[in-house]
Amino acid sequence: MRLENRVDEASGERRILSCRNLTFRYEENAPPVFENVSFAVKQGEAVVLAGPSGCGKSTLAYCLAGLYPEYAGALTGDLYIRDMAVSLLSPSLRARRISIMFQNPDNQFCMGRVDHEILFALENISYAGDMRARMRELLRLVGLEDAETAPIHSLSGGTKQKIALATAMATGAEALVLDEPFANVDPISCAELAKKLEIFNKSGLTLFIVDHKLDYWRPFLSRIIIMDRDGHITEADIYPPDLERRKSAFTDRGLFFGDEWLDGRTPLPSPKPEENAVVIKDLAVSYGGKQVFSSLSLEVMKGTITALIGRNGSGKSTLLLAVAGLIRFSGNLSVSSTVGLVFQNPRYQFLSLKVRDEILITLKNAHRSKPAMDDPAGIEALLIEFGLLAYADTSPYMLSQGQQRRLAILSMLAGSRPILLLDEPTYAQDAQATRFIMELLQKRVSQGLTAIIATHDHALARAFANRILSLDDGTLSELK
Amino acid sequence: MSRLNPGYKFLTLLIASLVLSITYNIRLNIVVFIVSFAATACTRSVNKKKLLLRLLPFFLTAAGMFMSGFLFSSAGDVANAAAAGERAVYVTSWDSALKLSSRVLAFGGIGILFALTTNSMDFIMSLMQQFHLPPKFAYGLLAAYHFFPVVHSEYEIVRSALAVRGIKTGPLSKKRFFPMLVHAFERSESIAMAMESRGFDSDAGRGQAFPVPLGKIDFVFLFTVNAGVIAGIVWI
Repeated sequence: MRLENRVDEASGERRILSCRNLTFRYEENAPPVFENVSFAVKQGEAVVLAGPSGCGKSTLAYCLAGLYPEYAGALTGDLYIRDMAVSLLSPSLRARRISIMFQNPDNQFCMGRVDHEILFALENISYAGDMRARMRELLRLVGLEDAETAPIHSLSGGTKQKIALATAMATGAEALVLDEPFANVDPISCAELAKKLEIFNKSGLTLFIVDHKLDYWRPFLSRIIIMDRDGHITEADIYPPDLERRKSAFTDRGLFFGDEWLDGRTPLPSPKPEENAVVIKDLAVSYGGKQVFSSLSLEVMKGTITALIGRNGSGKSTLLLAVAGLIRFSGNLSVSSTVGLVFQNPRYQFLSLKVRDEILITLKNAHRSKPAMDDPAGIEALLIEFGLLAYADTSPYMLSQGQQRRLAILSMLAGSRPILLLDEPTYAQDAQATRFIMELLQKRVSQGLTAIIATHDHALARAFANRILSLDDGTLSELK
Repeated sequence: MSRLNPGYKFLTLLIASLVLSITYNIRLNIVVFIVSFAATACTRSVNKKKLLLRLLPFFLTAAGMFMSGFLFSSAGDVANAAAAGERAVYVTSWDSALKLSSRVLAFGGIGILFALTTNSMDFIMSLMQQFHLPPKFAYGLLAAYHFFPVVHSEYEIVRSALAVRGIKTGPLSKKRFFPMLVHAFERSESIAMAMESRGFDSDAGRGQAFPVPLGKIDFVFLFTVNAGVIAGIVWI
């Protein structure tokens, strides 16, 4: 059934995006990812779609942008951009109406240089004016006029998302879908990017934002839609003035509502007597031909959590790699025992096609002389502790992001790593998954584990870390 | 050289290589190598150190081919033989050794001339604009090309990620390629979606932001170079 593209007489605003009874499945007989989803977005709105990890928010975003079902799955129901069915629009015509910014800033560029990427989008829509002048105008709008000829791969995650924004705007899209665009961006860049989006929204760009957190959107969002774990829209009209009153709509579903879930949490006391787990003196590391730091010193106590904060590209990940002994360095670095590292993208660390086998591999590698360590009961106990027993025979690649991270942590801890380094362990997680990981970690720390966490989440660091260290310009400073 | 139309430059050098491949003229091969080297070295944008480094594998291969031709050539029916150590060396050995090694240098010189004086993006754009390469392939190639730096860093990340689990992997380890392969599939789909969401439509008309001009000089280059090679075959 065709939806009407009519002027909403009550508000005088036109619908730009409307869907009715949308149901999506990845495979024909598989259970639906979301079912009977209906809502409409008016021109100029900034609508946030919130929902727990793995509920189908990103899938819905891809459908709205016209990418699914062309690239995956089967979609039924009606989906219109203004008066046109999305499925009938060619990519070139569709891009003039709606575009999308993806979560992963690395996987959305076709060209190697900033200017070329934007010119590519202008070419696609056969832009009639001066393409180079328009490209420069767009770069100025996102504050990147000095990066015109920069190679994209050399830029930070936040800058890449600004380029993605400029490129999406280049198509002249009236509406922009954003799939967790801040997931891997430091707080300063997030605030800058949110400000740009607010300006674009105020000048008429409609935004449909998929995110776990409302923080950066609160100054200008029009409305919030909540999708439940089972893929149903349960709240379609939470307006900013009602937010405090409707707090339970978020917290009951395990969603973030500011940093409230951290209220009352304090780091565990440091164990006595104090003993060092990691000692670094005058550490110098060059990575990718660049000197990341030249004289860095640090001591980390056993049985504590240390949080490392800093902008994208400040060297947090490099420091973790050095402590894990995975890159060359000069200076003194000593660790009291074996070190484990959970990468920001845990998928790089998987080696088998079953969760159970992943743990088995770790156990076999860690306890070559003790074959009894890989007994099934021991593995089962670990899987229960990490909430992964139901997925023992599932492929690690099929798990949700939160589950993958838990599996990666488990793979490390099962291998007896008394020092554990975690690179953005709560990246792209909802409140429930974040709490699960952090409480698990805290429990292990109370049993003697030493953890160093690189994170962008300052509130999380304050609630869990015994020390917070800020890495900036190659220098570490302690935050009180 | 870098101002020539890359597509026509490629065509010119391809024809020259094919013509050269039907002959075993040692002197012509050496002339082609010297001219290619000089043309590359005289191009302002070419880094001379890089040029020598890139030529090094060709010199080594040429030396290897020379030794192979010199020591293992067929004896033929030449009567005058000299002794080199315990091995009989025939007059034809010098000849075939020089033929083989000079061919490597000639083809290497032509290849380096093209590679060091051509911008990869201009080349792809030229193939699209002058030789009707479909945009789907042209931009697909560019996307893949621009992914090399990411794949390179990913290769190192996977090594570290496995090493920290106690799993040592060599440069060509299957274990190292497995996670990378999974990512490559995901990435290619993600890029295709990103291109489409930016309006890329291989079936629709598109504007031209990267024009690669074709001028008289490109045709002059095409005819002069190939006439020169043919003349070389006849007279050198």
